Amino acid sequence: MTTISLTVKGMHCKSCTMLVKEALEDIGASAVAIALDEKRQMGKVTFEYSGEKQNAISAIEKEGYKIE
Amino acid sequence: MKTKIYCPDIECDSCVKVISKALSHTEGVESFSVNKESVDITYEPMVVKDEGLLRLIHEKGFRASLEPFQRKTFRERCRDFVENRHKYHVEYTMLKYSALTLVLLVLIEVMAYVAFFQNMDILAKYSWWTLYIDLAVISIGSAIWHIKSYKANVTSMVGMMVGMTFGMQTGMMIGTILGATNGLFIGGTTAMLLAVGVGFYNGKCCGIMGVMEGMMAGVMGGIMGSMIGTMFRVDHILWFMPIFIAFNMLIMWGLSYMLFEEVIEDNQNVAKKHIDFNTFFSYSVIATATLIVLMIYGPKTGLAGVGGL
Repeated sequence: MTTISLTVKGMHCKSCTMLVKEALEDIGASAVAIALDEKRQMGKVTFEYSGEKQNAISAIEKEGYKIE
Repeated sequence: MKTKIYCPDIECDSCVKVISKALSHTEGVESFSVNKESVDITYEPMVVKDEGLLRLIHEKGFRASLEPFQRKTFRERCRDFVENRHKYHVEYTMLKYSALTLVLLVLIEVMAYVAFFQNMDILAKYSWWTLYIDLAVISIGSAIWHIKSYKANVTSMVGMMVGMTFGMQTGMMIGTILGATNGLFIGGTTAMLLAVGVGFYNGKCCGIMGVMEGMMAGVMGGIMGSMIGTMFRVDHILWFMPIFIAFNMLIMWGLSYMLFEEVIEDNQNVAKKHIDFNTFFSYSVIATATLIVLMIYGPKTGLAGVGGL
């Protein structure tokens, strides 16, 4: 288990945080916390995950968001 | 079986995705389509019920109902206002602060008159105008207090209305008063600057659209108000003013009413911010005092000397 922190671009509302959270939980990540910056349309996503970081990134990208 | 669930909070593609995902993982849902403000669902009534679907959508953070969400009529709103006082806590505070400020302002003005002036000429000339300045400052001030007491996302449509109403009403009220007492130049310039500022400050809530609308309305309202004042001063202005001010105040209250109905009510993402009485009162005193001093000691130009008031 390692703690991973990502900055996700294109997040603008509560529904977006829900989508990202669900996408991460689907691949087995836990303790997902998202701090949303609505003005800059960005979210700081922190979670614990035992797999490859790239795996988590592609799960988020599949929902249509970009990782900075 | 088919059903339509009303969800007024669906705003963007992400919302559509969240609901679609939840429904597609639900047993008994055969097909569905997510629209702008509602979801049409075909489901197997033996497996899943209406209530279950409503709860599912509700759990994702959306309002959901089998009946369309309707606005309250004015009568329903009045009854709600009296019966559910806690819901309108901010609005009750606003009315309390306004009434208290009006009483205190009038008291200070009476004391200032007794202490410094005691001049029948000034009393006859300015007493009504002083009262109108009080009413204008308080009705604009309390509406600003109201809007700043909430922290919420405002749509550009509401933001435009907010900016425009603040700019226009500030210009209209202050412009007419100063236009009548000091003439077009002082009335128009002061009211325009003030109204552009107020329109800008309040239109900011929704970005450039509200800002521009606020400033445009300020320019227009300030100049138009002072023209009304200057022209009416020779023709029964003291009969005209009570009606004029009453309508302007009604519009400011209408703005707070609209804001509550469109933005605040049923909105989960509203934060309240308490602004205390001292802040509200001191701003009101500063604004009123500045305007009154300008009215009495400021230059009187153009048509300000023509005709009697």
